[in-house]
Amino acid sequence: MDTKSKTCKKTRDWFSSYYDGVLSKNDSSRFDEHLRACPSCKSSYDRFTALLRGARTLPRVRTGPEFEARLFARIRAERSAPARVSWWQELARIPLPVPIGAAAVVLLAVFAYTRVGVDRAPAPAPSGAPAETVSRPSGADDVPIRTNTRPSFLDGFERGSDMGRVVGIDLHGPPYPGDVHPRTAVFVAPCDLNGVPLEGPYEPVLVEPGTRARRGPNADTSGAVDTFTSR
Amino acid sequence: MPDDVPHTTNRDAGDEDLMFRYRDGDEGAFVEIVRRYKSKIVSTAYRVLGDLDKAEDVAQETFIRVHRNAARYRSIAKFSTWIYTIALNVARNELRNTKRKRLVSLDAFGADADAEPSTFEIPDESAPPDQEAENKQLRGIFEAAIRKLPARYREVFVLRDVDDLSYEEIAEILRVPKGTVKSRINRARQRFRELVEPILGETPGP
Repeated sequence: MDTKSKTCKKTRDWFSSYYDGVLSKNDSSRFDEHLRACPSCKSSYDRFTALLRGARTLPRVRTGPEFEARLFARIRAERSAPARVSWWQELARIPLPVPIGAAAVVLLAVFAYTRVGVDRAPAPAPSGAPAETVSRPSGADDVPIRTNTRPSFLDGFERGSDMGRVVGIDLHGPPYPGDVHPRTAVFVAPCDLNGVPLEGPYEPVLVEPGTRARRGPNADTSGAVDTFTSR
Repeated sequence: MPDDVPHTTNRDAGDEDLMFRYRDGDEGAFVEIVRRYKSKIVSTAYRVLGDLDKAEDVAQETFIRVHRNAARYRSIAKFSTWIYTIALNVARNELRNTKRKRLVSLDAFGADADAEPSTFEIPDESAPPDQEAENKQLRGIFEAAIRKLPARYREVFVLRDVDDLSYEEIAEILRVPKGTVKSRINRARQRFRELVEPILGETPGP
């Protein structure tokens, strides 16, 4: 390998560090100098940076309001579930012959004694109590979606109870990403841990072609609806 | 709290402050944390696992762990670093449990970008249809190349080149020295380039 090839190889090994600005000042100067003199390396570096800039523009995955609904339903269920019994509590329920029981008590006492002073970390504070009030989004005084009255296009919100409330409908808005029925979308507010609709903005939930919505008596500036019908 | 001390809303509060608020009983603070991080965590998990459903499960489990550990949360680490650490650990467990390392054909993606999940496609309203189709195909090639990277390179590549985290943050999340992060990123980028350039029709230099 001649000197130029060696320099080219060295320069290309530096692409990543130079791009991130973590190359030393001296090496950066040598890098700049080589790129000015070597069109091939310059071109290669330009393609390298273009690829990485492209990677950085990859879009984020969008999740719908059902993500929160599922998560908060799980947390609510976890809180309402009876406390889990640890293995040693289970063990303590098993009746033992007196000598074995006595030996176990002695062993536990010795174990506890040896642990004193070692594990003095404070007990964790109890998990947060439910907040007293959570502000409701404007226009959320609508009819909650009941499982038995929900239209099929809201099936994605059927994974738990109190999944959300319809807070708005947009029949004439702009097309939405992945829109299957341009200019029609409903907005469903996921509920928080207390079942109260969260504040917006809300992700649009697209309705199937042919679905029609009727504004209900609670319709206001947010376009709250209470009835959906399908053709 | 004295009246003259302004109380920031959850929307304005920092991540660490939100965790303390949640620990102290403010449920809205947790809702705000989820709002801020759900898309980031699902996206990172998706690119590490290559499976959208599993990525959402990983994100769910991540937030459950954040919730369960809220009482023990101390600001010993930046919150974003902490939650990414949890998410990466859950994602790694998922990879181990399923023992599935899906190899996606780059050729297939290059030829059929529609094979990509449409959920993360965000149409660019400003781009003409031809340009949008081209962008979509390019994104498909990039996504497939990321999935083809070996796991240890894929992680650093996603964290650095997609999520834009610093070397220090990545070192903390992966619990490896900064020098290791630097060398892995270097190799990951080389591999990424080797995978993508032949498809794009570019010939590497000498």
